[in-house]
Amino acid sequence: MNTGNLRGTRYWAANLVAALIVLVLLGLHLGMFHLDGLLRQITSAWSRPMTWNRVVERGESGWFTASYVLLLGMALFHGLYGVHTILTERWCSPRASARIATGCWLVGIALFAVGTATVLVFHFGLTGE
Amino acid sequence: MESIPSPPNRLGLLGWLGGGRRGIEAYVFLCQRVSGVVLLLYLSIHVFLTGARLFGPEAWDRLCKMTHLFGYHYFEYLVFAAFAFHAFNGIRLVIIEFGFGLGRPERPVYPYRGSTHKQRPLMIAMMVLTAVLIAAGGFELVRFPH
Repeated sequence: MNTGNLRGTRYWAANLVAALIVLVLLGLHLGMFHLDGLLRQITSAWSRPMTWNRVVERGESGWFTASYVLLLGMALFHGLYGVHTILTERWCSPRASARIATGCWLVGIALFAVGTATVLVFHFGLTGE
Repeated sequence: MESIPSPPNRLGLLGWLGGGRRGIEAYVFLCQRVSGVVLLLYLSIHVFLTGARLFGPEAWDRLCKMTHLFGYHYFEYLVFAAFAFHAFNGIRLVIIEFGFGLGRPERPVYPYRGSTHKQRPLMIAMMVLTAVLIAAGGFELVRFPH
């Protein structure tokens, strides 16, 4: 049994699932933040999303907090899986591939930690403001 | 049996630009990768910029004003366009990955019609949807500037 290929298949399947989650969450995120003027024409309940009060409202919401963390994780996995694929087309030896994978994981974990810490610190009101 | 060594990857990343007979799908593939890299870079910047809210309303408002000074919202529109393209083309790739939209297998009769031609209507439909979403974003940028 070639477990290397199976592991690759599992990563590929995870990448596909991550892509679908990102599609939904990022679609909603960009729709709310970048098409807000058009949304206000449909429903007057939708106010400007970048004002401080709206930022605080979203930060205190459990749904928004959870969706931000999920979106960040899935987007980083999907994006860095793509970067890994691109780079291993150029440097395709097993050793190079392993190094690229390690680098992608480190970058992903670092960015995920920074983003998640920001969201959670804001959500739980630990900013000291 | 002696194994045959695989040929070296001669084209490398440059193969993206000129890897043989190029159909429109090859350029869509190139754009998919470029837009993906752009979105990942933007996400990395976005993670740090949105951290400004931790420093209170003044810092947040200062950041919002600063982004307007440097035309950051135009850059964000390009990111929005990259997302629209990457998302709709990604949906097409998933559909094709699972074997839909490729037509039934048939005998190769001249003039040959490969699976690339059969899946082209799906690609055109997705590009039309991409154009509609990008136009909506452009309308938003002009009509309702932040």
